Amino acid sequence: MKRLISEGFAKARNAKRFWICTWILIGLSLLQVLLNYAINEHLAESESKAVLSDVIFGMLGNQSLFMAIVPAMFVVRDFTQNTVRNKIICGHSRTNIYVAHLFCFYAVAMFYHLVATLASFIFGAVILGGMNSLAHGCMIYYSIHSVLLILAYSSMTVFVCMLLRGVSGAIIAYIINTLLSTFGAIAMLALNDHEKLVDLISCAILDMQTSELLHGVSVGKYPSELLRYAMPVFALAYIIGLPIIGVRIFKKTDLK
Amino acid sequence: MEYVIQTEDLCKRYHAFKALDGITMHVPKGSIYGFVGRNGAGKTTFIRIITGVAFPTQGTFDLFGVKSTSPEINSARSKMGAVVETPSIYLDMTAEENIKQQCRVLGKDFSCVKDILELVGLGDTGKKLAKNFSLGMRQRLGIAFSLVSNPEFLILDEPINGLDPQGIIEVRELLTKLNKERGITILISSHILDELAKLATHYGFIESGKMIKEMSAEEIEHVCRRINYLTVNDTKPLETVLKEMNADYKILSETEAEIYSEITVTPLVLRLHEMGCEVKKLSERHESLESFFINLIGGVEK
Repeated sequence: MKRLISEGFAKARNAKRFWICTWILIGLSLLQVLLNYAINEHLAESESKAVLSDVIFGMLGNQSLFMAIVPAMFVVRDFTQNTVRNKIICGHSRTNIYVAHLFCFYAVAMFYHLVATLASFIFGAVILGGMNSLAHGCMIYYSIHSVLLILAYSSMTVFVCMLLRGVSGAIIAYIINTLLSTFGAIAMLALNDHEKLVDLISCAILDMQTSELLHGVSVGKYPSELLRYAMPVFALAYIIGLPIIGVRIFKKTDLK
Repeated sequence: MEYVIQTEDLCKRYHAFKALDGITMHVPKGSIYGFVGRNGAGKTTFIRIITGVAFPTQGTFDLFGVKSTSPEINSARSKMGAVVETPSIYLDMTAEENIKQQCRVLGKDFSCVKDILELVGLGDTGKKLAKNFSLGMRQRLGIAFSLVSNPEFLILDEPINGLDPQGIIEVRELLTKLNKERGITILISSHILDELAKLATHYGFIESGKMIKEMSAEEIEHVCRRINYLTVNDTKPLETVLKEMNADYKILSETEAEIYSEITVTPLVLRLHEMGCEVKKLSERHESLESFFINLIGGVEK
């Protein structure tokens, strides 16, 4: 497993795409801060202006897009170029291959998250100001929640890519969150009268959790009691459940 | 005899289609095993099962004496290298980077990289990316990949497909070298039977997912018929003489004939001379592996 992880990291280090994505993330972080600054400039004095807490996790919504580019490097390419065969042929178990992909993915996703958050923090603090907007008690909760969300997105992306094992895997990984949000929204509309069910659906869909997180950080408040505990639990379910299912499927799958 | 691979009633089904139908195979240690079969006969499916890329629907195999169902099968596989269909390489990396990646996968240091690249004739490719390699170079890089683990057993699926004559010679020489110098057992599947005949010490013939026959090269040599090919000025007296001699023959034209049974040349020529028949040409040749295979398959089809 250690060997597979080292191979995965070497691939990332040497891949231009990985570094290009890093710079794009930094650029986008700056752009969102500048956009907020431009909007602030046009707002009346009485209107509330965007501050650091509005942008610190602002890139979280774009993370899934970048994660759909990374798997092309780690997972999909292993299948399209059939290099996964070399790993199986020389005796690596399929569980190890899956877990190594997942681990590398987690590492890269966390790196992107860190870069985006740090860039947003620095640009936000310098351009928008409002350091004290982060000084509310729920910042620790949301920081942990953001990490769980990144890991959950990663689990889902790796799962889809290992299941479809082709370029289509990366494409589906890219749109799956949008699809789930759409179906989730339809379900929420249909179950409008059942408040708890609606809350549970919003917990089960990662993009909706992201929206809750962004809103919560911005206003400096915890989500409702149910969401506060259910969101991390659902995120953990993605993180733990999908790899277990993924490994079970991958262990029985014939490869090309 | 010690076998690297032994299979027992190995089956693979894709819905109603039987890709492998109870195949039984024995690959002796130290041999170059030619795996012969038509397109779709099941060669690649078999190789994919042995290499762990696919799973059998029924049956088992032993690899280095380890059962395929044993948890030890993965460590047995670490003694194996393989190129299945197209070489599995990183196209956006150089040959050296590719081999280094495989070294990482195997937890080996990079000291072997240069030697392996030299061995397969890719030592001077420099910064050229694998996607710009010729087919032959990719094939050799694929073989290099499989050599990183220092394998005792190498599986090559159609290694000379699409190669130019020079590439074919290079791959053949490389495989002979690996077998002779390193004692690596090699399983090669190929359609190019004449080429296989120059390499293989053992053969397995597969058709419709079934192993029709396994033979050593010596057995094939013995079984392949010797054919005496004759050109005469008239085949009518020749036919009469051959009938007198109870020979197995075939008249090809008014001046040409083939004799399949053992004959003593001098009495035949003297008798023909007596009958006024002039022998213009007499040559002996062996039935090729290709025609042997066709006859074998024909037999199965009947």
